Parts: sequence; structure tokens; C-alpha cells
Amino acid sequence: MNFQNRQPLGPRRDLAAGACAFAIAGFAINAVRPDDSVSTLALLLDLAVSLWATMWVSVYAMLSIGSVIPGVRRMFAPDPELVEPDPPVGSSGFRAGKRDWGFAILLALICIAEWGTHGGERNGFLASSRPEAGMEDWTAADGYATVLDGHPAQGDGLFLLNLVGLFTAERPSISGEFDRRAGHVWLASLLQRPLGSYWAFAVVNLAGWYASAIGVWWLGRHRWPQTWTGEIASVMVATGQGFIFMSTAPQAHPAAFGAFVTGLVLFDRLSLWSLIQARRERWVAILGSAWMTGIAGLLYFGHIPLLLTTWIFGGPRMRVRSLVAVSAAAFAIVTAWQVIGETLLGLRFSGGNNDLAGGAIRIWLRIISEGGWALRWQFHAGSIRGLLVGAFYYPWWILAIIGIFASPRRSRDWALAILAGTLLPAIAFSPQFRLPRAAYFAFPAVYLLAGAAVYMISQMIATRVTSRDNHWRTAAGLVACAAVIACLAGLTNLDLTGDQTFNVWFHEAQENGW
Amino acid sequence: MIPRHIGRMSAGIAALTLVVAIIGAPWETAVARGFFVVSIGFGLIAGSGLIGARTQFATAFVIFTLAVAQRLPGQPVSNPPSPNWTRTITDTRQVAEHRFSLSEPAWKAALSRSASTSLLVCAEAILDQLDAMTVKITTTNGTFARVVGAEDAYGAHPRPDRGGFYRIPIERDLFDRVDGATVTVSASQTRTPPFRLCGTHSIRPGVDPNASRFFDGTEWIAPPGPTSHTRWLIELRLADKDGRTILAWY
Repeated sequence: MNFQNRQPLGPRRDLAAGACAFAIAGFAINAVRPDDSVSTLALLLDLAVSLWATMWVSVYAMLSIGSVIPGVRRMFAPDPELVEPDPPVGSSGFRAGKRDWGFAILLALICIAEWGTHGGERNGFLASSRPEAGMEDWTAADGYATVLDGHPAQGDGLFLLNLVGLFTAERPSISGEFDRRAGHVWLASLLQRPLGSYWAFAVVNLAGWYASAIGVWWLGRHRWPQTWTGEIASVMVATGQGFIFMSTAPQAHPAAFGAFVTGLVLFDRLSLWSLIQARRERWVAILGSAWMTGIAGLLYFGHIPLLLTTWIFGGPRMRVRSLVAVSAAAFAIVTAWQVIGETLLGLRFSGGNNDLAGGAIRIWLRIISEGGWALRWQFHAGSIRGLLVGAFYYPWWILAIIGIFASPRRSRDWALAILAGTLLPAIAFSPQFRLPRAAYFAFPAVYLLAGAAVYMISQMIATRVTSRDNHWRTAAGLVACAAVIACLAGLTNLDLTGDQTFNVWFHEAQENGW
Repeated sequence: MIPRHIGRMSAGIAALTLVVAIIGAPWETAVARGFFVVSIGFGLIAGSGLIGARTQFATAFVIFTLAVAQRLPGQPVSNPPSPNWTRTITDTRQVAEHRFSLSEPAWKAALSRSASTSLLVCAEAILDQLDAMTVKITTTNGTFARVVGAEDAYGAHPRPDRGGFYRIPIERDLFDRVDGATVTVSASQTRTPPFRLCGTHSIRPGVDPNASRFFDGTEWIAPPGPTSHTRWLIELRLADKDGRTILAWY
């Protein structure tokens, strides 16, 4: 049976969510009294996109998670995996041939080159906080900086040193802003003695960066088989805005991004989504997935997007008790650290960054209690479009949208689940801080969809080459892919020319201007 | 032969890693290390088994090596120079001084593009005072002096007891074809309320490590704060015609 040609009956969740989002956004724009947020066409469109994106993500997540209820599940078209299971992992995995090794080395070289050229004072996180970037008016000439072993580094590094000292047995346990991210600091502490603080954090970032690139390559091979989607997307990771922005900054994000992608690979590798596993295999899949999700939560809040993705993609396909088991075990791992940290080490897990998620929820509740006007105004004041464009600039979104149509349904559904699962926390957090770096967890989906689009375009060009020799057609396709990737990499490397625009947008999102 | 026993060897190395991590360590360190060796370390070893037995063995060996390296003498966790220290100015005889080198191409290029020039001084606890400190800037082209107070506050000032910038516009002519400038900050002659002048670290390569000094009433000394890589938070800012900062200089 060819699942791509089979037309399932019933509406699709993604289209139903899109229609609902149109209706809700239209209502919010027309039914609430006019204000500055709809005073110009540009502002109106900004508001409309912000409302639509938020509503689509929310409704799609609700419909997908709600599909754990059989009645809701039956309302929608059956998913491809239920019609025909995923292809076996081995059929699309790495073959460990010379070509694969060569590409893995190429990816490593690109990652190292980007990491090396965006380190120290050129680090995007640090550079975008300098007065010249126009974003902050309270920082000194060096920006929000600290000095680690003589190297300029992003300022938060100062607050990680007590935890590093705890792991290296040089300092007692002292509570700090980053108690919840201690897993990341433990990784860095393993390298502290031979490399020093600055390079220890930097090398952990590089490891997370490369793991992300390799993971996305594997996911592309597995979910878009017989195409170059994985290769194209992995180069987008190696030259990705989020990784370039972090480069050598003492921050948990690159490690957390790596854990997120590793989790997605592991879920597929363990066939977490499959309903036709033996009991033992199913429990291995559940425990393995829960462990990886918990680890992502010990590095950063990576367990939230991973669990949301699991529920959104797994809701229509998995047993409810499997979803609950994964979630409970993952939270148990994260909570275990908090219990041990509080009771045995005297860490407080409160204050500063520890409390930001709770603060965002309180702000949403206050906004909702103030009524429809305040709620709509929030989408203007905290433009979700600006948040998404800060994370991925327009060319990536345009390619990803093309990629949605260029992808088979099973790949598209998987990518849309990641989009919803990763963007929802970033949007939920936005009244507190609009953080494109939180939305950047969507990079596996955005880059793979964009990769699918680039591959489709390259094949369209290749078919126009009037040569009987297939090599020429392949070469034409490769040149087309390389040209697009080079243009995109040129944008993410714009800071090397002194232009910090993309770093500033990635730091604090775009405002209402397009 | 190797694949048959390699799983047990990996498990053995994992157990050894835990022992190396916690044995002989202070109990707080042992608890923290033990938790992450078990949760992340063992998890990585188990997960890498999906790729193959040899990969699992290699992962176990790498984690063990890192755990050993963590116990060896090496680079200590050193505190960076403080990015935010202060010195209380209580006496009109006390003077903070910072000397700017203005001969570098970066400064000259930005000056030629700039439309306005200003001096930023960071201080605490003068928000409610109109004439707290006197700022004087001297170049070979002349001297400019100004009493600075609350009306010059610039940027974020969350609370009166928190540091914040005070901005003093300066005529651009003062910097034409000069290679240096000296800024002094002292308590105002008309009132002498105590205020705290901010200091920070000095990162930029090429900046004279002794560019900042402090006259405590009897002699010139290095400013407080860390003993090296330190400076007063006194900066020159060049802006374009739209008011955007194109260079922050110290």
C-alpha cells in the first residue's frame, strides 16, 4: 500500500487548527474596540500574524493532545502511522560509508569554523548587548560581559562559577540563579580542570552544536528518505543563527538544543510512536524516552518542548498510559535533582531565572482577567511575529512553508508537532520575556522543512538540465542547494561584517516593524 | 571476543566512574557529582549502546576519563574581576581620574562619522540631588567642566541606590585632532553629599591598565576593586545624526 497516495477520510488537524485560528484572530481584530495596534496596515498585519500563529499552535496542540480521547481521535483523518507503520530505522540510517564519514567531517569543520569565528568578544550574545547594538542603554562599552580566564564572555558566566566550584570540590554549595540548569554546569565541570572555565563552557557548546547537526541529519534521512533533506538541514544547523549567537557563551542552550534533537532521534530509534511493539520493547522505549526528556530538563527547560512534542505527535498514535508514563518519569528525574539539591545541598531553586516560568503564568492570568482588549494588546506589545522572525528570519519561514507542501504527510505531521510543541512554551513565556532562543527549539522542524523545500527546488532545476548524463543533473541540483545554503549562511554570518541586526533580533525579538 | 564481553566492561567502567567521582570528595560535591554521573553519565552510556557495543564502550571510557580529569590538579575556578564595584566619594579633595587614548584608528574613524559626542559617568545615590558631582574633561584643545546631577540621568535607573549613567553632552571640537583626553570626577564644591562612583573591569585589548587612578586626598592610588583589569565606569560615546551610539569608548 502506498500511504502517500491514500486519501484518508475526515478533516486534518492542521487544517482544522488553521481555520479555527483564522476565525479567532478575525474575531479578536474586529470585535474588540480599535486601538493603536490596528492603526496602520503594518501593525494590523503584525497583530494578525501574531494572533493567527498563537491560535494555530494552541488549537493544533489541543486537537492533537485531545486525540487521546477516542471520540476526538475519530473526528479526524487517521494518521499515516496508523495506516502504515514507520519505516524500520535501519532502512534509512547511516551506512558508515566513505561518503557519510566525509559529510560528518564536513559538518564538524563547519561547526568548528562558525564556533571559532564567533567566539570571545565577537560572540553574538555578548556583542548584541553592547551600546553600539542599540538594544541596551544600561550596559558599559564591553556589554553584559564577564572575564573568564582572561577571555571576554557573556555576563551570566559569572553566576555559574559557584556551581562549577561545587562540582570541582573547590567551593561549598551556594544557591544561584541557575540551580535548575546544573546538568549543563556538570558537563562543563568535567572539562574545567584541563581547559579552564571559558573553554570548558565553549567546548560543551560545540559538542551540543555538532550533536544537533548530526541528529538533524539522521532525522532527515529517516523521515525524508531518498532525499538530501537531512544533509541540507544539517548544514543549516551548522550555520544556524541560534548556535552562532551562543557560540562560546557560557549558556546552557546549545547543550539543551543538542539534548532536544538527541531526544527526537531516540524517540524514533526506540520506535516510541509505534503501536505494534512487544511489551518489553515498549517499556524500553518509554523509559529511554523519559530518561532523555529528564536530561533535557536538567540542562535547561528542554523537557517542556520535548514532552509537548511527545503529547502532540503521540496523542493521536500512542496509548495514554505510555504518554503519562513518559511524562511522569521525566518529571521525576527533574524533580529528583530539585529535592536532592534543596534537602542535601541547600540550593533554593528560586530567584532570578528560576522563577521566570511562574512569573509568565501570573502575567497571563492578570492579562486575561483584564478582558479582551488587554489580551489583544498583549499580542501587539509582545509581537509573536517578531518573536518568530527573531528566531528564524523570513527566508527560513518561507522555505519551511514551501517544505510543508513538499513533504509527505507523515513527515509533515511530525514536523508540525515539533513546531507546535516548541513554539507553545516560547509564546507562553513571551509576556515575561520574548526569547527567540526559546523559540529556537523549533530548529529541527524549521530546518528540515526548509531542507525539503530546497531539495524540491534543486530537483526542479535538475530536471531542466537537458543532459542524458545523470551526473550533470545531480551536479546541477547540488549547485542549486549549495547556492541557497550559502545565501542563508551569509545572513547568519552578517555579524562578521559588524552588522549585529540578526543577533539583536535573536537576543530580544523584533518589535512591531516588519 | 570483544563484542561478547564489551557490555560488561562498559558497565564496569560506568561503576568505576561513579566511584572515582564521589570517593574522597566533600560530601556536597559527592552528592552533586553522584547525581549527575548516574542520571546523565549512565544514561549516555546506556543510550550509546543503541549505536553499538564499541560505541558504548568508547562513551563509557570517555566519561570515565573526564571524571578522572575532574579530580586531577589543573586550572582552578577563578573569580573574574568584578564587573560592578563602587567607591564612595565623601570629600571634595578626592578625585577619580580616567585617561582616554584617542589615537587609535577605531576612535578616529568613528569620530569622523559621528554627529554628537557625550561623556557617560556611572554613579549611585545622586538621583535626588541636583549638583552632586563635578566632571571635568581636558584635551589639548581645552577644558570642559560641568556640575552633574539628577537631571542628567540616562538609561535605566531602577532605584536611587542602584548605579546608573549620567550623560554629559560635549562639544565635538574638543576632540578634533587630539590623541588623548583626561576626565576627572569629584564631589561638587557647593555641596558635598557622599555618592558612590561605579567601577568595572577593563577588557578591551590595548587599554592602558593604569588608565584609571584615584586621589584619596593625600596621594594617587589605583582605584579600588580588583587589582588588575579595572577601571572607573567613565566612557565616551559617539552617536550618529539619529542619536544611535556608534562607539562606546574607554
